[in-house]
Amino acid sequence: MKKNFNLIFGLSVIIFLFVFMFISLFHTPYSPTEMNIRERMQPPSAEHIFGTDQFGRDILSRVMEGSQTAFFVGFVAVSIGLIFGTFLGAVSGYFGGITDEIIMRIMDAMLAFPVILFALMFVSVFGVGIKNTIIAIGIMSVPSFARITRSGYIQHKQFDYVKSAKAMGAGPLRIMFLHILPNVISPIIVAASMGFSTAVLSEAGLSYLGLGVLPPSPSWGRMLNESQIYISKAPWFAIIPGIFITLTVLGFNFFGDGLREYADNTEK
Amino acid sequence: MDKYILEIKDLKKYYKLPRKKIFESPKFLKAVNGVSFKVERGETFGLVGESGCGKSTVGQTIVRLHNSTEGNIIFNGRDITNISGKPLKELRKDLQIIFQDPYSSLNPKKKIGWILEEPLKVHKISGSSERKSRVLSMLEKAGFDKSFASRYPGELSGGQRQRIAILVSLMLNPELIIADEPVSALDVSVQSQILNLMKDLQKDMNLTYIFISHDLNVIYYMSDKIAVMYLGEIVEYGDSESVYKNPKHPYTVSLFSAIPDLDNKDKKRIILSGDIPDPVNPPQGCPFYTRCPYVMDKCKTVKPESKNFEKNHTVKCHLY
Repeated sequence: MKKNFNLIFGLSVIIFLFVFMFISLFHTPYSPTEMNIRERMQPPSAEHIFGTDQFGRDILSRVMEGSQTAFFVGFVAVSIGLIFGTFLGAVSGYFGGITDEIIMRIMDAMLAFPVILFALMFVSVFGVGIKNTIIAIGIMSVPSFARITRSGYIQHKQFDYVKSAKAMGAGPLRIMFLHILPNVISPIIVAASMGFSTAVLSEAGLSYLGLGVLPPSPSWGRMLNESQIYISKAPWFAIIPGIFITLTVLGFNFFGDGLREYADNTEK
Repeated sequence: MDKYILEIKDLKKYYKLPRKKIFESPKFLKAVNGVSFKVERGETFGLVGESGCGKSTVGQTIVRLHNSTEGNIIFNGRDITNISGKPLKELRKDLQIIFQDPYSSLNPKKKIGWILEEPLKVHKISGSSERKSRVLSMLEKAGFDKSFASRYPGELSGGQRQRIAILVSLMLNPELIIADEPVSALDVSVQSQILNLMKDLQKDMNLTYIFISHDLNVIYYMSDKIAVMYLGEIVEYGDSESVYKNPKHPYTVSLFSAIPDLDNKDKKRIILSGDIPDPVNPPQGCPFYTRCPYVMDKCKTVKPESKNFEKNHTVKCHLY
């Protein structure tokens, strides 16, 4: 069997980031919020591996703490998208007709709306904060899940095993989620992995604009925002969180691609 | 109890075609165009015809996978044409269907045990452990080892899959089974195995079959009665012996003449010209007149009524 590079690479990156986040739950080298003016903007050294920021806070500790936010946002936002998207897509694809038209036109409208713009509106109506950011990102990821799920259902609903389930008296919900879902789940999981990276990126973007996570709790996007005025004096301050954002996005994208490859190879 | 388990009266199934122009009046595909027959308890009723003649639609309409356009379906003395909801779910226990393609009729992501247990779970029949033991005893009935319960359909051959599909339809102890071309997708070597299993089960469980096929030999082997369908209509019906030995309708005659015969190599074959007409615009008069070798003027305008021969043998043709 050919080695699945995407899957192995993606999974390694995700595991690394996950361990990184897991450790931060119990231990960070310094307190991520403790300021120390005497040690402000120090370049990376043995004491502060990734240097310090404008208030003398340890960047490694802040990045570690920030990974919690990233994972939390990614996980919850994807779950919202996954649950509602899969349900709407399943209903739409299985029943077809006017139900399908109504649901999919709403989804199309949502897809046509820029994520950041929607999040901006949502946050300005319901208030700034991590909760609203997550909800906004989650809502905007619903359409892509719905589309993918729908196409699987349209294909599978005409198979005889579905007719046979109907003929034995199974109800539509049972057929949709017990009979068909296991057959169409793999592209949905791939989409979830990709959606995770999009969510992390959106959160970073929103926090960068000052609309996501509130200070002083650290978020990678927020760190980028704070670092921009010091970019020439303390480039590490911007580079380090940037690297972590890139790594997360890359890791989940590779993982998603790898999963797709894996599913394609085993489903023959 | 009634002698007849199922009675179909003038069943019609039209499919509305998508309009090409906005203000065009809608066109209909007449898949089943006025079919009537009765099925006796315990017999096998064979429905034969070429592809596209509507025989599968009849079967799927009887088990209420489609709603009929017109006509009545009477099952055990009760009109089931338009029932829905709970009564329909209850009815499904007694009325099951076996599909043609065993590669698509079993859920590829579920184990055989799960697939067999599902009908019982749907109808909330008995507890988990008893359901499992019923699944195992059913497997043994069809000559499977118990270990098959934990296999996936992908690990089974076509014949094995079709046997499983038959067992699935039997889990609820139905009275009537529609077998929609159950052996057409299988190797000839496996066909007889499936057919014999079906015959054995029929005796064991007191089943009535409606057996749909395009294979005349299979139909003759299985059925007590044969109905020949052409373009959504039954053109000839009778005891299988009578229809097989003494076909009347020109279409039936030409069908039977197509069976290869080793003993009689000089057998005259009737080769029909042309295709089956478009079911959107079926011919007026007799549906078969466009291809009939004995076509008369009358056939083109007047629809033939069914005429009785002997007992139980009816033909719709102007020749008689």
